[in-house]
Amino acid sequence: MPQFATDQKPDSRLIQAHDIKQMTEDLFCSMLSMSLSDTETSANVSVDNSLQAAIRIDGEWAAQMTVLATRELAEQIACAMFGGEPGDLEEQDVQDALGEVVNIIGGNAKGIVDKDCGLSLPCVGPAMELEPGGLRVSFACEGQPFEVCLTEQQ
Amino acid sequence: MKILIVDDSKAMRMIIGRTLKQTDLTGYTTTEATNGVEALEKIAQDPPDLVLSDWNMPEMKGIDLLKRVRESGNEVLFGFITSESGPETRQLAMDSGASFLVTKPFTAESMQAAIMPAVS
Repeated sequence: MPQFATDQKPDSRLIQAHDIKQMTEDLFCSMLSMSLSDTETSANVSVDNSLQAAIRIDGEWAAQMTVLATRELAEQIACAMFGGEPGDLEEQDVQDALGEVVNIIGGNAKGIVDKDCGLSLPCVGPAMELEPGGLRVSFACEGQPFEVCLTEQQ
Repeated sequence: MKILIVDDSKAMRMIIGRTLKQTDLTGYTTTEATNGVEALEKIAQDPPDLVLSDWNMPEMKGIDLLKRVRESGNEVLFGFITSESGPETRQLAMDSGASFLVTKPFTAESMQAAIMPAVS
């Protein structure tokens, strides 16, 4: 089972850890052809030399979905999308790829929630420490940690 | 057949193009637009036979692009490829004149299942 940290009862959330796990695995498997595995321990992505991409969901349900990846993994994800080698890609391409990852996971989460809400465009930049209280699901991909964090706003 | 791919993500435009090659669809060429405004220009300049559009884009969303196309009397075949997977989104797309909606992440199989009935 994926490890997550939350200070809310799991069943009060509209999206559960297993939903995030399924959506992320579907994306990595079907679109990126990259293997993703649960981590036995909560291996948080260090903010050093890492990127994050976030997307907001606003409306009857307000939340933010954030993905965090080491720069190395972000480049591998971009290579999976664009083809080619890491050295062939520009920073814009890497950010584009990670932004699309959070766009897909966030959009899928919105689809699960039966409420009138909209998605923002993704915002990508250097990783920052996440605020506590979100639902964090950790993965390992190509030997690198990868995290998805959902913060629901009350 | 001319296919116009509309998505603000260069990565996603590449994935869509690559996935189209994995379907049974043949005899087509593709052009690209990064948002709805650019897509309208390309539709006017070089009318496509099929538009594959993202939903959420800067400048003009895909649904607004579709509405503008239909308001102009253009009946071009139009489908969405989007992460927005809710039933309301799908209904709005169909009510506005889309022929199909493919949910991201997609496979060649899911894309083929959506596109082939529409183009045949």
